[in-house]
Amino acid sequence: MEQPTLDMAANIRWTKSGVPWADYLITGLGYGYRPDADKLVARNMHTMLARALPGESLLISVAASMSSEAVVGRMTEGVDLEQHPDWAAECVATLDTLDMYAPGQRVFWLSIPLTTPKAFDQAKAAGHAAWTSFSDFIGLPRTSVSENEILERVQQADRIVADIPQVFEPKPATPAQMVWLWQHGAQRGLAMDRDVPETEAAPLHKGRAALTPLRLDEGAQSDRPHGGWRSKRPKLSRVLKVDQPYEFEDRPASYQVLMTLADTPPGGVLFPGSEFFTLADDVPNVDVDFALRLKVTAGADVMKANQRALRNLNEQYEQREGELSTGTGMLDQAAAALSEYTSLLESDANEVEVRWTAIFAVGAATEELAIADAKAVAKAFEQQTYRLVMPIGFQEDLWWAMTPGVPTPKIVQEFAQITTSAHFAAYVPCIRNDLGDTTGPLLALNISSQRIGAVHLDVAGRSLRDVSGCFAVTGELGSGKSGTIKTIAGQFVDRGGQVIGIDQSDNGEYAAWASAVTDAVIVDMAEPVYSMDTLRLFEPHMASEMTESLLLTLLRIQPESPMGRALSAVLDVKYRRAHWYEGQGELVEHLLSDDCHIAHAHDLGEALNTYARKSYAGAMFATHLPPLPLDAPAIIFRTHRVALPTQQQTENQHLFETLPLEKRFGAVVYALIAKIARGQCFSDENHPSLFLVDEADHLLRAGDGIDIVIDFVLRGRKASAYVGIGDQDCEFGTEKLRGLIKVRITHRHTDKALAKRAIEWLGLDPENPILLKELMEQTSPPTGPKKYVEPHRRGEGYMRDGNGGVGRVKMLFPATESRRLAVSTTPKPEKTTVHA
Amino acid sequence: MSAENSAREIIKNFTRARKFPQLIGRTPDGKRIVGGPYTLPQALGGAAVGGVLWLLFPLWAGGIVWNVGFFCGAVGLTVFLLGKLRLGGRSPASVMQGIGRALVAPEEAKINGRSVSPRQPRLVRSGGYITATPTSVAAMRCDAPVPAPANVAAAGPQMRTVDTTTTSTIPRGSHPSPLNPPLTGPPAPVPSSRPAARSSVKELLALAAASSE
Repeated sequence: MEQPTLDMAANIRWTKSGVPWADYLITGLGYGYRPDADKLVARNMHTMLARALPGESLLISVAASMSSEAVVGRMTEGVDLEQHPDWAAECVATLDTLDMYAPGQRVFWLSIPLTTPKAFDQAKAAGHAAWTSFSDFIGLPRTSVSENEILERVQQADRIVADIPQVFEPKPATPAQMVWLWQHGAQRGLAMDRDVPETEAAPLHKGRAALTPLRLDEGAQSDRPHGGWRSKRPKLSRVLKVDQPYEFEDRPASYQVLMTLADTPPGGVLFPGSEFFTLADDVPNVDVDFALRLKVTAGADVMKANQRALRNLNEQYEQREGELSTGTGMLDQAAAALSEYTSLLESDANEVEVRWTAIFAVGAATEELAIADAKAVAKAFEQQTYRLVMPIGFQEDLWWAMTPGVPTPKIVQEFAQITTSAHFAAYVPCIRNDLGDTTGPLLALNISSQRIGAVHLDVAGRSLRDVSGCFAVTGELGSGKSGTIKTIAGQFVDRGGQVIGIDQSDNGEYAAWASAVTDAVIVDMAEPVYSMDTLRLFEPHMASEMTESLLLTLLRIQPESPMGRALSAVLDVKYRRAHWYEGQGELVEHLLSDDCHIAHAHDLGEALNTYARKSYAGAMFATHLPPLPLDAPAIIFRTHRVALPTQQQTENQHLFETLPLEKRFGAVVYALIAKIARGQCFSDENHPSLFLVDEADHLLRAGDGIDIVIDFVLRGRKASAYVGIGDQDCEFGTEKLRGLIKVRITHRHTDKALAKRAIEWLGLDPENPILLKELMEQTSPPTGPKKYVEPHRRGEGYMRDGNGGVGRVKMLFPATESRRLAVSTTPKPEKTTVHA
Repeated sequence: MSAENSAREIIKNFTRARKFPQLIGRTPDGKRIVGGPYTLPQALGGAAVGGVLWLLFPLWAGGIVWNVGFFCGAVGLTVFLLGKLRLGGRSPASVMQGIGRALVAPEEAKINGRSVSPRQPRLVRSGGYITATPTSVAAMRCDAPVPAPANVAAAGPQMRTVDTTTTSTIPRGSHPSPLNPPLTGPPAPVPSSRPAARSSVKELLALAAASSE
């Protein structure tokens, strides 16, 4: 068979048969871990898709192996690597990491032949195709398709696609993408795919020469031994060898095995559970493409065919009358099926018949490997009672059947299955388990199926798409929670962002990490070396408001009280300008001096002086400390030695009122950090910044903590300010906060109650026993007598991305050795613990 | 019924409502065929074997018992064996076609639907005048082997005779070396080391002078 495409312009291809085809890229629907209600919606969308495709069509699902370069290309997009050499080094190191995993993606391609209703137009199209073939034969220059013809066909295609549910996001394919698809078919299984060309960057016209000539060798006959009688003996191999002899560079041959679905479970299958196309992703290390040749027929025409089948059936009853076998039983089953089928069609006026043939293709670099892979795939299907066959002598025909522009080969009709659109839709062929963003740092591998995908999370880039970049990570101790947070934060810093974080750990894991990845500023709140005096750090108006709020909380006075009014007056910008004092230490001195004539100023000064004299309050009141360098790429506040009130002390008024001074101050420290973080992160919308809060409970219980965090989530997008929350329980903060955070990651929870909460937080069914067991027992499981998580199982968890997709992931810690050590190394805990 | 239960629907294909085995058990006048019903391959196979035996009767004919026994046995065996065929719902003609294709598959595959047979290397004799100092092909072979054109079998370019006027001995595409520095900019013009080209008239005069010596 000859390559049928003559011309490609816009999303239309003109073929030798005279029939133009329109090509679209469509998006699979999120499925996988979604609840049954979502699955039902996905099925209904597929029903509508089938009904929107009258006549013949071709739906292709390409398991595109992604080259490491393609994945890293997504990581470098929008980043000036010369300005960010650390990110460049990480990208280079990632190339090697990706080679070990070989991630891929599924691309869905819809190709529709366009009808030509008028006889004159049909003759014209056929004439054009014939003339093109003839002019090629005699060597005349090719006549291109007219602009009018292109426009008419594009409009015709768009009218058809307008009926397709928009959830599939049909995008007209470009000629460059058509070439990409052809090239993929030529080198299937060789892991040589480039990323699908971008729609915007593609030229609008390409000729036939853009499609590389291929040598199709059914049975790999060219591999016969040369010379001797063996060279004359045909190989009866069910394999198709495809190579590209005209290419300048030496490209290896792809050995492909094409299989077609010969039978489905005889008694039918239950929905949900009927999604057998997902089996194509269940064989490890095998990329399986599949294509569906569809023929949709209107109900009225089907009824006529059913009438003919009924007459034929009656005739067979006569022919087989008196047969002493199960023959009549078979006819009875056919009669029952015919009766049910007819009633289904009659019960729904919109119902149509879908004749569908599924073709599956695997490829490899050698014949033996290709056949072994094909057998593994067939075995996986057989275990679910779906039968795949590899028809000998028809491998090339099936290969062409997976190519747009090719009329349906006879062999395809032979394996056609017949059903209604509603039943066909239950197989939900167009689904995906993709997670994360299309570009940005590589965070994890999608391990929802055996087909590994790359998960990118671009915290800063999400705001450009008008979605929040804030995220939350949960998981029990040792589950990999902090490793995930540090990985995201490290990527953020390497790409030019700023991280401000709170480190509550005794061993200073975040401080050690930050020092290892950048020029970090570490502030120990118990022994400060920098001043965190808000009056020194921020411009007067903001400083005044922040300081007033903090001191009101510290002194627990009302704004309307005499001291509250005094505080407000002394912090007034005009007053401060007239009676200049630099920071809060100087403020206390001013309040106690005779220069201050504000009522109750002395009382206020005495109250503040109670704290200002304490060493642990130096961060706020010390006058000799240099101000905190807010422009540092990473600022980590260590709070492990800050005495904090317990939850009981916070919740009970009488206990709160009897708190020791250091705990009163401790309760304000988190509010102080949060205010500084907000002040800095919201100061420059062109400089992305991330506020990192692991073990978020302390911050969320402190003063304005939760309001500030919610502020990050709600308003941070416009100011390029984001918050990353870590906690061992998914019930952090308030329901509002938990709901506002769209990117959710959960690591292992072995406690049933916590695990259920985590599953619910992800948007899944918490009562699903399989899911519960998977999260509790099969997610980074500690194994062996020492309960040790093996290195290759670390970082497993579940992720819900900003689009609502949920999947199982394995976090990829940084590829650069030094950064990986910084993320995973746990420094020795400090022996001395000084309570302030 | 709850929504959850209604979602658990049985999904079926109704292929068997349309595609069921077509058997022949009766004659057009309604009489039952002995041993029937038969599948179409059985009927056609049996008829074909019977027809061939009928036409080749002189080759196998013997006594009446032999004739009847052999005829019935051969036809019966064919029908029996064809009845054992399990084609999985496929058309027997299609199965045979596939096997046939595999058996007669050519050694060389097709490129874009056309067979491309590699051309044998052949000598293309040059016409006209030789305008440079002649050098024998044999001498060239001794001095510097010229690499064969790549991928002769696939692309089938014509192998031409070596340009006998060539004086360079550095093969094309060789690695950079002091003799063959890598090209880093536009090539600089080099004075030709070859004798200046002569016109046909000059060539004729030279030949005439040589013949007169």
